[in-house]
Amino acid sequence: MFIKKTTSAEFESQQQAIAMRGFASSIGSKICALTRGNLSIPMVPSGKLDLATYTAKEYIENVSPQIKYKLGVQFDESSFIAIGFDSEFLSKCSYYWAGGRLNAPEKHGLAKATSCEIAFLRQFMQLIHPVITEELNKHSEVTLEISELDDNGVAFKNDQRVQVNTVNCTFKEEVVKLSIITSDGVLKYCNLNSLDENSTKISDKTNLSELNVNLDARFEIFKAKLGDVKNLKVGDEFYIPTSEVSLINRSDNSIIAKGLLGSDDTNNQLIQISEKR
Amino acid sequence: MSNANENTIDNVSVDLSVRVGKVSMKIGKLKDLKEGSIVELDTQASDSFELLAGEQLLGKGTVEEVDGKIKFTITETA
Repeated sequence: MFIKKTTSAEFESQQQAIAMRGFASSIGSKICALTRGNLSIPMVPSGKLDLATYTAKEYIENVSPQIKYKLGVQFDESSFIAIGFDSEFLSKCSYYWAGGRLNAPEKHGLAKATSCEIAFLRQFMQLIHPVITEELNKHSEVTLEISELDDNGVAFKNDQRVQVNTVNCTFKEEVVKLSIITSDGVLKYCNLNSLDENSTKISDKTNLSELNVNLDARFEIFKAKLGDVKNLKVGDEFYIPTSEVSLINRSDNSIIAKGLLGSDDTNNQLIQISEKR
Repeated sequence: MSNANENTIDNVSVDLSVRVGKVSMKIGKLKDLKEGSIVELDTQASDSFELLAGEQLLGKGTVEEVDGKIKFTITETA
């Protein structure tokens, strides 16, 4: 049998990526709802979340420049969480918001924002800021202040990784992406596991009621001398002080219930419960 | 072993119990047990009862109720 080997840094990164899923899903749904209700863009989350993990170098060189707009919080010199979106998101949303109903025109990612996009951006940021603040603070013991985040100021460590959960959102014929970004170490400050889908107890997902327990039905324990036990023979008698029968869990000998012995019409032995532990 | 030692050991108390039967029950049903519930065992009224020391079978026998106590009589040794 082979056991997969991993470093503690990789393991933590994987744990964090898993913990992010519920949070990303929740925040994606809320941002879509806000956008529908306040900006009249009929945006809904669609499809599965896409999760990607990058080294700090890959993230800074290739990913971060694409996710141009970020709101979030930096916890220490290297840990941060942010909700971000790219120029395409801004372009398509602002086009629809301003009344455009045909497909939004293609735009180069590094092109300057138009005045319409800037106006939309201001409104959109104002709209989602309190929701992101509220959502993040549900998972944190200290009050977090959310602001626009520039991850160029993050002092990444050598083996640090960045996880990006992407929520695909659609409206009309358009598909846009929201990114929920965390760097390793965030779980120390912000327990993303709480309140999300990952906090579901196993008992909520698995029907433990179907598990079987093996029980013995026994009269009360009594004592005998070892010498008598060694010389047991047919006809020997023992007296048990009570006629009560206990239902005992065979795995730990705990008494589950007590009752009286009887039988039914077909001579099966039965116990009628008189006391439940 | 000397006689004195053997006598000492023979005087050690041993916990014995008489098993009426067994039953396998789902946790859900176990949780629902209450006063008056009936649990069916895997044995018949005509079956012998097992005399056990822990899990070790010592013999089989019959039971009868005498003045509220149970008298167990060995009919078969293991």
